[in-house]
Amino acid sequence: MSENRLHLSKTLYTAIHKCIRCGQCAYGTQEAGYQPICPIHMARPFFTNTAGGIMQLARVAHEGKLAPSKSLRDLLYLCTGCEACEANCSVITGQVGIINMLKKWLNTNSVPYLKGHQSVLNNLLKNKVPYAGRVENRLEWLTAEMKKEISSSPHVFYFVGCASSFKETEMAVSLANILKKLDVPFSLSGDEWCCGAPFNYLGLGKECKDWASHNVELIENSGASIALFTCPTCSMIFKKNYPSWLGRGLPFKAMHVTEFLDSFVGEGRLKFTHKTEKSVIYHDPCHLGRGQNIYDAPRRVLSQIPGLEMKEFALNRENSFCCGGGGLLPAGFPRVADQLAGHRSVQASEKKPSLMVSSCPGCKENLKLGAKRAKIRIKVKDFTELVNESL
Amino acid sequence: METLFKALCSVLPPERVSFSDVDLAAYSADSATPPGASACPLAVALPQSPEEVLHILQIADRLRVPVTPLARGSNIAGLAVPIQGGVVIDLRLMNRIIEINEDSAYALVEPGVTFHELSRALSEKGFFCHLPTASGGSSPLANYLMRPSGNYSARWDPDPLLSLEVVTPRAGIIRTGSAAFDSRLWRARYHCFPDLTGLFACSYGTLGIVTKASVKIFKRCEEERLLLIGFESLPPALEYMERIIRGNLVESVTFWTWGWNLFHEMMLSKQSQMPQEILKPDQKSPPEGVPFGIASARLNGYKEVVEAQQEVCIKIARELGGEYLENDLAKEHFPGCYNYLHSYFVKGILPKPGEESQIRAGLHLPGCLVSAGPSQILEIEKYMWELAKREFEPPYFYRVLPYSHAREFFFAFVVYVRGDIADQLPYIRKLRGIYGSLYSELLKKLGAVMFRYRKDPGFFALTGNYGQLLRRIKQLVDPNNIMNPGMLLF
Repeated sequence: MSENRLHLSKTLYTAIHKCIRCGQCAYGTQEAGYQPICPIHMARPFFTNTAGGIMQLARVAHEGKLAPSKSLRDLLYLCTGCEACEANCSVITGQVGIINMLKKWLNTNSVPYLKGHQSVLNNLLKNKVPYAGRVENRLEWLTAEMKKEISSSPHVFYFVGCASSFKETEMAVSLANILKKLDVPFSLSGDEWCCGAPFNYLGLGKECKDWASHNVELIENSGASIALFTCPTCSMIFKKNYPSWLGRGLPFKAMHVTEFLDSFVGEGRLKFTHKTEKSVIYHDPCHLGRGQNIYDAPRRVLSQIPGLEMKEFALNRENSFCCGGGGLLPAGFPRVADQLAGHRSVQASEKKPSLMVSSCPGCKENLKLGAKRAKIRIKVKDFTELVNESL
Repeated sequence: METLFKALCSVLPPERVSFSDVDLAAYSADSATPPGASACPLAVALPQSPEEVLHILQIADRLRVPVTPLARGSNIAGLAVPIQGGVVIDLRLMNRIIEINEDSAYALVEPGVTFHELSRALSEKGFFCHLPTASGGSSPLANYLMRPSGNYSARWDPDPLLSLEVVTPRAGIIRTGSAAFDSRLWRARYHCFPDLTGLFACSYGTLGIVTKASVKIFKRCEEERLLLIGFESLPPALEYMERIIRGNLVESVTFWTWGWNLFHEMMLSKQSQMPQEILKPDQKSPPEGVPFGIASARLNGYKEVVEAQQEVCIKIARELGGEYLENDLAKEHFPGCYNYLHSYFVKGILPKPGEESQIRAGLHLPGCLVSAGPSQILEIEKYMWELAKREFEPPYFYRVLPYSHAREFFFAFVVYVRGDIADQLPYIRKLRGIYGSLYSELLKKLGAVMFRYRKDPGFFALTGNYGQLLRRIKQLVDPNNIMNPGMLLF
């Protein structure tokens, strides 16, 4: 088994050695009310199914005492990359990175992917999109009228992302409308490729650089100074991973729509004209909150909408519970993803809002499905839709 | 193996028992396990009731397979690692706070309950519990069973346990204390017969698995305060602690030396580098502007009484050369330290991030943990400083707290190991070697007793007939020696 050892740097091996199995990676701390916060642990209550447990596995894999296996794969692919473990662990940082290292180790040892993940990979390589089906035209959602709004000297390049292009297209439509209403010159492109996040989740590396180069070049050539995203996974990957994949900084500013519109609030340029009587509960997407530390921006924008009542989850902000839509979980373990979304919908319904709002296409899609399957009657919308309706 | 598999699956549903290599590997080590020394169990079981625990123990006894109980898993001393293989009984699903009895001031808990959960539930009812310097994710039941280093042990007593429910392979499910008479009575440690709760305390899962415990809880009062006094050496601090405890002025008090206090500062950040000041070669002298140590006390009572008690404490401290550190100033100059102490002493809640954040910066080696009378403590301090100067690398520091009317003091001397574990192995081995003979020496020379058992059968042998009697009891309840044999106690 020794030739199959997982390679860990001395520093990582030492860091892992420090885990005292306190369980905060799975249950959080006092602030989180000590409720389960880890999607992996929600699926199964063994210590193994915690970031701490997986750290132990990395440790013994490094020591040559654990072989790469399908059972390890099935454990690792329960991780949605939500980073709740990292936010709550006082000892170790970078658990999600270590999980990705283990996935890479499985790949190098020829452990096959789950069927759903193999399809995602095939689709990506074939279509530059993780989905199958009608994926030839990324801009199918764009109406002829909207097309006229595309600027040849844009301030903003809207990187639509795969989920907003093909699944939650109302988000893309809403953002295009918002930009029009705010007189922001923007452009976009049908030649956009997936941001590359799935490669990361699948423990792949060499593809990332080419994909990042393509997307950065596309935006750079548009002349825009800001790349704008409705998908927080895309914006996180651009901000956090692209500089290291490319070996250089981004030649433009990457902004999620929530922080972009928040800057309009500060400048007094965001004027809502339509009153609403909705009570809204805001779900912090993991990759926007813990991933980019953006918690206040969406709340500040939504609170400007006249008549809107904001409600909060008991588990919110840094302790927000993952909807189950991340890390390719729906492709690998759709039932678990459903259960997590159902769990989050129950948490929302306890606060009796009329609407659950998030700012991520993955969250929106998964929460809708989860609520339906859990038989929770709650409407789910994206931040962009609500803003567009109220402007 | 096949027999064990079939037997366990006959008493537990398949989703709560595992033979998977991945699960076995995850349970094979903790932070105290040296690199490469992990030990895989044969199976992991997650029971949900004492009856299920009993079934597992009966199977293990019949097949002569060792069992290692695990309450919530949090550990820095290798107490719940299946060194001899066998079955790990992970009790995390037995996690109910069954009762908070405000009338008789106790809480009835299962082993999977954490300090976070218990403190929160008690706080809602105006109570608090003994808090150790452990992670909030650790189990009060398990911690209390190992003699807790609880900070509320000064006025009350060092032992929060009352009645227990214990599962043994041969004697079945036993209840001790008042619960022995009636399973609804959990308020007392013992009545008219010998105290069997004490038998299971500090037995580390070698005599039985505790599945319920009633633990003492304490009422919050009108006014709760943190009183901080800086001292420039241990002797006046020790006298201060003894006087304020025996004068019934505070509920609890602990003396942390400067290194420990500076580490508390780390808790506010995510930094993983030790503060530079903490690495100075002369560990006996603090950096400029930092007191050698701070005595942190909890005052709890009616406002007027607390006011008067604080005044008297400050007067005593000044007589002894101590400096009163006002809360606002402490908050400004030592925000991390203040935050930690305030949460601990006033809120009665282990703070986030807790003591474990120290481990971020260095490997924590459970060091010298002893208890001794007040006058011996000064000798122990001297002894440890000399030993440390000779053998240890910075940082090292200690903490002292009086127990039970200052009848004895708890003394904890801790060494942190910096750098990569692979490079530091020789140093770690050296430290373990020193600790190996330290306890016998401290006992012989200074009358200090090991506070928690450190897998040293030689130390147990010092107990003479007491040890012999315990061995006979062990043979009676666990003749096949299946109960946590990795502890090397019996």
